[in-house]
Amino acid sequence: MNPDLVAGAAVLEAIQATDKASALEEILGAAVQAKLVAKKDKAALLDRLHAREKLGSTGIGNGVAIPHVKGDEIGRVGLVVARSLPGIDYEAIDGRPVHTLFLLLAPTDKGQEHLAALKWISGLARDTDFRRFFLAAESAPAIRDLLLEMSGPA
Amino acid sequence: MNGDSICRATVTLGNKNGLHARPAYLLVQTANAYAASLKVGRDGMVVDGKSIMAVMMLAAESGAVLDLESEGPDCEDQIRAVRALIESKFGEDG
Repeated sequence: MNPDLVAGAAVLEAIQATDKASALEEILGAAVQAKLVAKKDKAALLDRLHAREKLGSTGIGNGVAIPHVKGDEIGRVGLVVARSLPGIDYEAIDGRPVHTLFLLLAPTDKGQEHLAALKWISGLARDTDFRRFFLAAESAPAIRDLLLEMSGPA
Repeated sequence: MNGDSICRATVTLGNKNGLHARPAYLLVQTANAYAASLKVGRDGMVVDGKSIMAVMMLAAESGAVLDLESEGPDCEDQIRAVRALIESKFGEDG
């Protein structure tokens, strides 16, 4: 896993949203704020995030969701990591609320990096220790440190 | 009864974007429609084909060769369905 992706990620320790639509808007807003994507592209990207969810929820289970969008307007692979302690009703495939969101943004031609990021996130989602430490982390910097620690050799 | 049958197949991923989230989900959904267990192997890594998180751990790109091993009374049907799904490129691209 590319540590630069984690180092450059926007980290939100407590998002306000409690439903899926507001959560997607909030994390994409954070991506704009972190300049991972341009503000002018936000509406179109949000539409595509929703369209992707309609094909099947990206809530992969264990309280983890990976909303993702690709596009030519995205300059480089970007990541927003967001936490909701109360949990979000995300229509996840196991029906459980989502506490951890990984928003993945990728240029259209970066399929390989996208697959590598999915692999990393899937590994985290399966890791009981990661999930416990993530939920217990005291601050956004603590969450980032945890993610960096977990982004060693894939 | 004396043991379940084992069925195997080797399939090459042909869709452009590889085994990303949606194809992984479709594969797992297809596998779970059958009683048989499914193992998916790639370059020596073998994972549970009924778990989306496990399948995404393969990070299999287009052109990757997947070894399927199904064990159970309906293994033939399961392998046939999973192979058909992969060969259809998950309905993604031409």
